[in-house]
Amino acid sequence: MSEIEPSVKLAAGEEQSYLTNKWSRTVSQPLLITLMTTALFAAILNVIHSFSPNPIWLWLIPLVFFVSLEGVYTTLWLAQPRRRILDRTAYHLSELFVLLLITRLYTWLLSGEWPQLALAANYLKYPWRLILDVPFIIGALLVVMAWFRARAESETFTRLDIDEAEVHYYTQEVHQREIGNKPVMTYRGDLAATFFQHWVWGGMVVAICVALASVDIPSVTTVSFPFGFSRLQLPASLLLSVIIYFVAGMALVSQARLATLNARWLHDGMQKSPRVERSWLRFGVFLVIVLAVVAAFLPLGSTFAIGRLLEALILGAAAVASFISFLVILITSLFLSLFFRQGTPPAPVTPEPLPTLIPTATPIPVATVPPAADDTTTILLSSMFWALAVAGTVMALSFYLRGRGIRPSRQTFRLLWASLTGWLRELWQGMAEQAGEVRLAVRQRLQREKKEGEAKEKKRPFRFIRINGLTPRQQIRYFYLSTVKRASDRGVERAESETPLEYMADLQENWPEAAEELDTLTDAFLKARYGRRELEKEDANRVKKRWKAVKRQLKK
Amino acid sequence: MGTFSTLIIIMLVIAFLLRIDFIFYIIYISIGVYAWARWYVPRSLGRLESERIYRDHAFWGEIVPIAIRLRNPNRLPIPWLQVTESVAVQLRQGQPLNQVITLRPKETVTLSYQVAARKRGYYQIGPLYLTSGDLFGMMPDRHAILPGQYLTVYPRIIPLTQLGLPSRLPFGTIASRQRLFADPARPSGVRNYRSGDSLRQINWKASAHTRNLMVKTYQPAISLETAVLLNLHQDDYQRSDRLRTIEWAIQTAASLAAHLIEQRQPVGLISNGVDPLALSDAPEFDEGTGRLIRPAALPDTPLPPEIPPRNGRAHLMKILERLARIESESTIPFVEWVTTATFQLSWGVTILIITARGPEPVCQAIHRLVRLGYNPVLITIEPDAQFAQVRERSRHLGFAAYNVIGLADMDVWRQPVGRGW
Repeated sequence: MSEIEPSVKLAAGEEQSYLTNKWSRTVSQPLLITLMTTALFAAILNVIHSFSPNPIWLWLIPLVFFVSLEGVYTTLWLAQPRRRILDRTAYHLSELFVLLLITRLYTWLLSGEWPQLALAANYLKYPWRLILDVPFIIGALLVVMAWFRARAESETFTRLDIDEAEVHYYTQEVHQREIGNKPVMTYRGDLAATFFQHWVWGGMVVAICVALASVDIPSVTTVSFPFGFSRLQLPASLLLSVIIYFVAGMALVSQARLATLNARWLHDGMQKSPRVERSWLRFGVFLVIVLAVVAAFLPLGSTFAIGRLLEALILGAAAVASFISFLVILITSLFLSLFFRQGTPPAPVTPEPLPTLIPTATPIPVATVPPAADDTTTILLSSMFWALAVAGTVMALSFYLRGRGIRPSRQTFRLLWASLTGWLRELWQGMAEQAGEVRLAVRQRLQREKKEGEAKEKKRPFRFIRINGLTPRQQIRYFYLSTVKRASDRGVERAESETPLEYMADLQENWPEAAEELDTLTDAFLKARYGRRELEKEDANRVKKRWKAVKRQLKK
Repeated sequence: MGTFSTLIIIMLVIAFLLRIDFIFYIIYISIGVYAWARWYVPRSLGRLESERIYRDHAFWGEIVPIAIRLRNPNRLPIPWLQVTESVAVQLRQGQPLNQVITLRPKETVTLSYQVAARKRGYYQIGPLYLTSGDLFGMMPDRHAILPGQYLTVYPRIIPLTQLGLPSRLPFGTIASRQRLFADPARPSGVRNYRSGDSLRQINWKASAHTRNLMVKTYQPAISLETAVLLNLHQDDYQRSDRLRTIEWAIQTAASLAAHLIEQRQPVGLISNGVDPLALSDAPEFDEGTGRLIRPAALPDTPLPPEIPPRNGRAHLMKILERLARIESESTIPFVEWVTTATFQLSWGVTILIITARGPEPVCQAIHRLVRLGYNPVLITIEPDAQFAQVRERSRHLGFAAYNVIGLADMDVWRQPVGRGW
């Protein structure tokens, strides 16, 4: 035994790796299904957009993506053993109803034509006016189809997956298996084949969409040959849809194949190397990339000669068909003429001249009131509709939410109300705190700005003032303030709390020679600043002399 | 797959008529995937090199490791390969080889498993079924087969240290090594010339080579030869315990042959059983056990040729191989067969007759062998309450008789000479 050493040894825990990878099951597969479904319907929307160039159609693609994602994940969610009881038609109907409600809101949002309050009475009376618009109808149709398709594909993959019961049963020794525990047989090969067919048919739809989107619609009416119309360049969104559809589809087909083989290997008691699972996706991606690279180098334009040949063949076939149909019609008409021959051909009828019509005055139509509809019946019907709609919405929402674990009972509402009020209270408190902080910040900022302003004022650069242009009062104030500034520059600053008289004492202390002048200047300033008496020019001149004397002293 | 072809055709038509390069691109990729599934997978599987490495002979009780070596000579990997080896039920030891692997380019993988040699026989190992396919399920799975090979499990050999047979028998007097008659047809070597040797016995070539007169030596013609005469006529065995006793008879024969070869004595084998491998070019195996079985399409079953007495391990392997495959059958009753079966034996050969019981006709038939100059020894296999009468009868008729009904009885054979029965 020692002479043969196997190069591949399976670890005990890795032997039974039949369960689908959790990441693959919950992330990659749902995303791929969603992308594939979205790409399919995006191709259809692109065609609609090419016929009716309205951006609203392309904006429906995110909605389709959302609906597909919802459908896929709901299917996954319902596949859990605890949720299987919910997997009923009623639940799905309510889910669909909610999705249609979202679609309605989304299309209103896209078109910007929200229902107007002024027309509320009209809507109450004619409720279908709320839903009978083209974007909603097409959007709803596509949403329903996308939802169904996404659900179907997700369900297929759910059924393709091996569950733990199967693994438990088939990994037991044959004699230990209890027949009562045998899992229900799932025909995974058929499921994978069905999915493959769905993908291929979807691919055909995509191909047809590409064909339709490439046609220049106005040219169709002007050409005689069916394929002679001019072609448009394909929009980037359509190209992206096609690529996504085929790439995601191939990846999913490969995953379905792996799931089928996994089941077969499990049933056959195979030991699976963990490398198989790892290399599967890697090699699949490698293969597609290699083929894509090779395909990029293959000739595309040269194939048009074949296209022309094909055109010629189709033309020839059409000509032969028309000739045969002409012959058939001719023979049939000749044959029928035997039975319906008339004795003598009718004499040619000379058309009589038409009588000259005298124009008459067009009678003014009498304003007729349309027959009044039976308002009572209409109101009754619309009321019934609204009652049903509201009841249906409430029921659908409650059913949908109940399935998700949210039970709308009185207690729930009380809790909701409590949480709402709590939330509002917290919001209010938060806002109040924020406002307080803002207020504080503003105050601080104002104070800071004020200080800065004052500082700026203090350090305001010298500005030439024409003294004679000032009033006597202003002149006196200027003399005093300039004195204060000069004293500050010399180191005797005025404190904020100091009154002019107190400051005068400081100044006199520093410049005792100018004590009298300072006294006079301060006194004049106080009268000019706070006094009501009119000041004359002579008063200002007198103060000016004092001010000059003070200036001289301050310069020393 | 039909729908995929339809898709490609529809896309081709659209691409040709509308001259959309992008659709061509998608078509090329789709055709590429299809082509890969259609042509590459069978080709890669066809080029896959597989080999089974094992010892094709095993002794009873041995565990035989078997390795399956797989090599992918391609430049692309084989994404999945299902490997299933078919193993006979009687050989199974642990999990059979059922694996799914992946092979990188130029990678060699060796998978191993074991079989247990629990019962003698000629078994088929394999075939090895290899299955592979594409990643998308576009084409059906492809299969390849590594044909089955064979494993011979020798019968159980009970190591006998010494046979307690009467000393007058040639192989009972090994120490004497006396050569009564030298057989010139069986040279055994050369020796130096001694006075009295016949000139006709001088080996001139050897003498010239050694520059010394050398004389040929021969194996003894009569003495020390033993033939095991194994009766496998199934009607001679009691139906109730036939399978076990026949197996026991074969084991006894193998043990005696192995012991005698160990003692460097020539041993031969003669049996009236059938060797299924010799009957048909296409061996058939029992579906339940996996053992080689007699082909059902052959009503007349010829007896296997006798193995004349020779010595050496290679000869023992030949005897054991025959005993591994041999099966009981309603061929020729022992009494009718025994005289004709011994025609080819030399005079004086010891014949160990292994049969079910020793009734009067059997003893009389053996007595005829005595009268023909052989030294027969009767070994009965089935339990016999009146074996004392058989022994007494055989003593009167001039041969020894022993009853060996199980391992406990075989212990007697392991006792030193002289203690006897």
